[in-house]
Amino acid sequence: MNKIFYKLIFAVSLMLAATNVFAESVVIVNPMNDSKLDKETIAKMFLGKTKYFSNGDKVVAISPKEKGATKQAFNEVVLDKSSSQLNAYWSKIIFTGKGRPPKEYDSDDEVKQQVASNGNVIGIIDAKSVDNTVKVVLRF
Amino acid sequence: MKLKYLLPAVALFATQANAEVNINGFATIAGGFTSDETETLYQYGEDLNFDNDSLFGVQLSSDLDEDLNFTAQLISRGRDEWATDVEWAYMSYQANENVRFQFGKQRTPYFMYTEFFDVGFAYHWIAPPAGVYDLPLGTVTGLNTILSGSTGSVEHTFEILFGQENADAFLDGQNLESEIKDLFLFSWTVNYDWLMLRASQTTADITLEVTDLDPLLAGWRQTPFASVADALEFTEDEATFTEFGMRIELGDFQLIAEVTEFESDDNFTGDQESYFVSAAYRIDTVTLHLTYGADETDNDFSALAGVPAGVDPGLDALLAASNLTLQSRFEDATYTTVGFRWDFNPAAALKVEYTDLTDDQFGQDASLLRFAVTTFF
Repeated sequence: MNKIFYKLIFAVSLMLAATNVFAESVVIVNPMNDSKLDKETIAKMFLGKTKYFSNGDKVVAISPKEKGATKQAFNEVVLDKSSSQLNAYWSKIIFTGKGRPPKEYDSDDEVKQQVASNGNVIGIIDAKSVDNTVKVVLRF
Repeated sequence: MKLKYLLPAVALFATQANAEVNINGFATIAGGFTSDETETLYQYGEDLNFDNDSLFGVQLSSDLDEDLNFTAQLISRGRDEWATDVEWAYMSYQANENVRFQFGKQRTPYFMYTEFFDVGFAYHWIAPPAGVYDLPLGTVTGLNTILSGSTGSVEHTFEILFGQENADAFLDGQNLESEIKDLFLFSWTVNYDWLMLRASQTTADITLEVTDLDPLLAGWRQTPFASVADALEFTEDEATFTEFGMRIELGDFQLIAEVTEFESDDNFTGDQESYFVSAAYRIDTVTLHLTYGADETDNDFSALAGVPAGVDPGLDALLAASNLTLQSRFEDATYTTVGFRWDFNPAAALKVEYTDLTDDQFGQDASLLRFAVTTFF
């Protein structure tokens, strides 16, 4: 019984690991942006708490649609918050006029275009969409 | 401020044809009733009432440039027969990473939840504890300077607000006129990972026009004891609001506590001290919460001390009415609220809560069941 149980867990974790590999997402900035960025700083930028890059430029955080796999993974792994927790957080910020959540775009290409054309922008996309117009600063 | 003042705000948006206007909104529809016909609590009675805590708000905001923003927020409340009021209308300027200015009409951040008191989606209760948050005044027009910065992993925020306003006030379930002059607010918030601490103090010269009190005041003014009228009325009295707040957030567990004090120069309202402690635990989409709080109001009868009793029936009647008015403000109550919030959708939640209040002053114990749906977009 126990053996079967452990085998099952092993198989499930393999499957989870596999889906994770296939669904890898990345945080990207403009190739010209040489700011220091770690997971904690990136989280703060997407929560509106950090408003400037270490190079002094203003931060404009953007993302694909809330319901997409990339955004969901980002919420869970990098921000460590559920959608409703994030909404509760943003409702407080929005309605006291202190900020706005990251603007959402329809596709990875649109996010990539914004990042490639503007040094202030930091975005998240699926790892598969990465090309040399953008620089990857975090994988998750 | 009523709707007519919105027109200039709309005009401002219209002239900024290129600027993008963001529209957001929130709504809470709440109902409640007390367990017995003799009981009333937070304006609820035995009959189901949907007016007291139901409201909706719409916010327009526009970035005029990268650092300059205009925000306006309108709220319609069930308790005001859904009349629409402008709650916020201000320009903000982010001077740099550490300095922000907000100029215009804004919520006065007396306590931890006052700024987003109406945004039910932002907290676990149907409404933040009434003992602390049943303030007669909500907004002020002026300049708020917000300074923020961090030392290591500790973030500090200071707010310095100057303002004045002639506005509607809400006291004991009644709308009345008010005037706030020379308001000065200072707050200091410290954020460290799982811990938030806040301290604030507000002083202002406040006038509350309580028309129910006018016959009594007029009566005193016809006697040699006109000074009693001055001592009872709430006219240009200096008032002080003091607060200490704390929030601990560890994973799915939250602990919130706040202590507040309201003091004002001689008038009928008395000095109030309140506190509450609230614990909340999140299990997936459901948050369970438990709150305990206490409210105490003391009143000062010294204004009546110099009036001789038993000399004149007219004076005696005025004394009796004044004593009653002052006594009615006394408060010594504790309450427990237990409830849950269920986030059945990422942008909508159902809340149910039960409050049991013990009134050690007048013995008017009461229990109240409330339920609400709250959303934002």
